[in-house]
Amino acid sequence: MPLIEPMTPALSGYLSDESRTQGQAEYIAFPRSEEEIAQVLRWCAGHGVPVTAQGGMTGLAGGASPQGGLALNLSRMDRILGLRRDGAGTWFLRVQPGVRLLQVRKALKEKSFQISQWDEASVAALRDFRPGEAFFSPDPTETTASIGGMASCNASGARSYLYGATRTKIHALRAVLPDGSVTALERGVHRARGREALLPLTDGSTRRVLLPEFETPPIKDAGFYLRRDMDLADLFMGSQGLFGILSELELELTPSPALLWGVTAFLPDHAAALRYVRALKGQEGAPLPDRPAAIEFFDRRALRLVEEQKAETPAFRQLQELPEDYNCAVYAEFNPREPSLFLPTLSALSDILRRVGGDPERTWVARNERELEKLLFFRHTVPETIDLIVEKNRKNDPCITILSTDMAVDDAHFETLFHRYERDLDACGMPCLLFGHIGENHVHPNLLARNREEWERGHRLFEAWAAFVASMGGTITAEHGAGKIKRKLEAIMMGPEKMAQLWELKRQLDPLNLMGPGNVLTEVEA
Amino acid sequence: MNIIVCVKQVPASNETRLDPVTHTILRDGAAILNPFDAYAVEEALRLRERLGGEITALSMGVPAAQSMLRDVQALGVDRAVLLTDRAFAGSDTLATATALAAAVRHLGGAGLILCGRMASDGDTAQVGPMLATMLDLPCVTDVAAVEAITGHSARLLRLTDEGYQRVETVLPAVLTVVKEINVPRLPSVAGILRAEQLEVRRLTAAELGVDAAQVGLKGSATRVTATGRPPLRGQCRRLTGTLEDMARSVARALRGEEADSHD
Ligand SMILES: Cc1cc2nc3c(=O)[nH]c(=O)nc-3n(C[C@H](O)[C@H](O)[C@H](O)COP(=O)(O)OP(=O)(O)OC[C@H]3O[C@@H](n4cnc5c(N)ncnc54)[C@H](O)[C@@H]3O)c2cc1C
Repeated sequence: MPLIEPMTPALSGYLSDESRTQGQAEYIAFPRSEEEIAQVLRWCAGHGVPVTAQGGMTGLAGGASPQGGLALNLSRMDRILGLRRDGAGTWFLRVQPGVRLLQVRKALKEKSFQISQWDEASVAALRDFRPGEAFFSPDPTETTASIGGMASCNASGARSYLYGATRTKIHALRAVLPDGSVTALERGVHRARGREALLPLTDGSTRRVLLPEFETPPIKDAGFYLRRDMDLADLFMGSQGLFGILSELELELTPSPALLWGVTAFLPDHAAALRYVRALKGQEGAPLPDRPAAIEFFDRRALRLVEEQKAETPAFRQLQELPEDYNCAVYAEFNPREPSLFLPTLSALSDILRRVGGDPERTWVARNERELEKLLFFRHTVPETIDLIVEKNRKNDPCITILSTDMAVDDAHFETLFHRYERDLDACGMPCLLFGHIGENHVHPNLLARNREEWERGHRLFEAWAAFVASMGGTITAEHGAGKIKRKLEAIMMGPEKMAQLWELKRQLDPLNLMGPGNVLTEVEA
Repeated sequence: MNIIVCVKQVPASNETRLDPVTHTILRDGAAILNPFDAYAVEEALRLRERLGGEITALSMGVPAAQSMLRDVQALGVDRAVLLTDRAFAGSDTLATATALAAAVRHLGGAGLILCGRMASDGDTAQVGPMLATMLDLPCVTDVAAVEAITGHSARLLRLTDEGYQRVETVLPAVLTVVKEINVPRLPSVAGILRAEQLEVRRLTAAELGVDAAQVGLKGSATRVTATGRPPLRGQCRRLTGTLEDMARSVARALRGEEADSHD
């Protein structure tokens, strides 16, 4: 089969990602190796054909939906290539970009690898690896996401509160640049000097790039990562296929915790929830004996939504029953290295709950991974319910889509943002809810528009929030990336000056402007 | 009404996997509360909320099963009793029921004895009915709902292969429950901290006054002479051809007609 195929109706599934942003393309390619990626990119450069990278196509911002040209689908590059352990005992796993998160997880947990093509050093390292002793910590919920896609969106999840987002766990990478040349970058080895970045190419030459003058904020952020003296690998993190195609990644693994446990606490009001969260984060009172891995929030509307959906969705029947008179809930998860931390942490939580106006009786504790699945199931039913409702509302008007944001700010500004969300949601006049990663100052307001007017009003609200968040030095996308559907918010956040600098950065790496058309960047007046 | 719930610790998983390098068996030693028993415990807690009384969780097992009983206590069970003794080792369902029946008598009986439908390791579903027989009590299996209950009788809904069956029984009785009956709760922070202060009472064969020949391997009526794999009943057939051909074959198969044998 030729490497580059014309797009046909049978392949139309490759035209939209999980955001259902409808794309179009003339060609599609399913490379199986780095060399094949380079061949495709050289052909595209020669013919002026734009390229959109596709991983698992689970993105929620339309990043993988092509806007003309060629869809470069990496799903056939799904092999795990090798394993090593460094002198400090840290495990590293080398993978192709199209390998899915669930494959990586299963392989590590069960120690089941296809090793026939591994080198001897990797096989030897594997001999010492105990099943499940280490894991890849980034967890964007959707486990069919590819590792390349996760890196390109700097995906994160609930546990990134403790472990960090994907970026921090990509130790090394190889990327094919738009002209087909390949760069290999290792964290801690290849760094910028000030704003000057010299990308080493595998043919022995280097590519010089001058980084933008501005730096991105030190908060959870799915967008570009730009710093003086930065690790060059980070240039590709959150860059949504705009600079090149990730062709190989080395993942830093994290030692598995001795225990996974969590608590959902029901609280009487938002003020108590915010105090509880501050205490969990060690900002108020003594720090907990064990630092939480995740801190998540659900407002009353989110809880009620799931409760109502229970009657209609048989799969939700095994959900825990909510206590009477619930208001809101905070879920905290712990991944201790020592099981003995369980009881002291639990009793500290009991004290905190009493202090902030909660009640240690009105809690659900999951003491192990199996029980935790029940709490996680509950958490996942919130976005699932939103999906079901949006699908229903779409029948009224096909313009309706999910209206959810993933903005974040720093600790100092979070409660200001939270109160703004509260006020605006109370006044928005449509069904809505608030939930999400409160530990990382990052909750998702969701608006469930029932008609076009509400949907447009929702969009205007998002734009107002984007400006507000930008004024506090925050980000409009902490976890999903701007892709295509949040470009307008990205433009509000960046402003024309920074946007022009980003274009300049892109021009240096992609002079023909062929990579990721329509992603993230918007035209600015020269 | 006082309730006794019988609970068993079982292996978390029946799977075995091989190490890709050394080809030895990888074991996951975790042990959990038998899933069906969680529903029995939950039903006991709900009945106590309605009727008052005390709940005792009763288990026969190795000393390590104590941690499972502590977990059950964290849910709000009042007392936990563990029958643990070398004499019990190797018990089959008959010997297990013998020991449990002795314990129920030792504890002074109860208004209701709840068991899970069956244990996930043996899948026999025998212990509940045997226990009832030994105690000379009525037994209702596969209970999906306790519709009404008084001190003397209960109206129950049984799940059967054909549908539901409504049953009335006098009490005391032994009930085994299915997963439809409720949604088991998780413990609370307060519940776990309280359970830390509680004792798990241990009883030996001698303390129960059971004859050592009636329990354990000696008291077991079952002898395992061989184990085997049941013959596969399902048949997987691969269809090929155009989408239409394949759809037609599926339709024919669903109607019970002979499908074309492609491939
Ligand atoms: C139910 C659900 C829940 C989710 N929850 C979360 C969450 O909690 N947190 C979170 O962060 N995300 C979440 N996501 C979003 C999604 O899973 C992540 O964004 C994921 O990282 C995308 O991976 P992917 O392989 O599907 O990428 P794709 O959607 O295929 O691509 C994403 C972007 O990366 C680019 N890209 C892909 N592969 C490469 C490559 N090899 N080289 C260069 N560029 C590439 C694409 O062009 C595109 O711009 C969720 C998605 C779903 C469906």
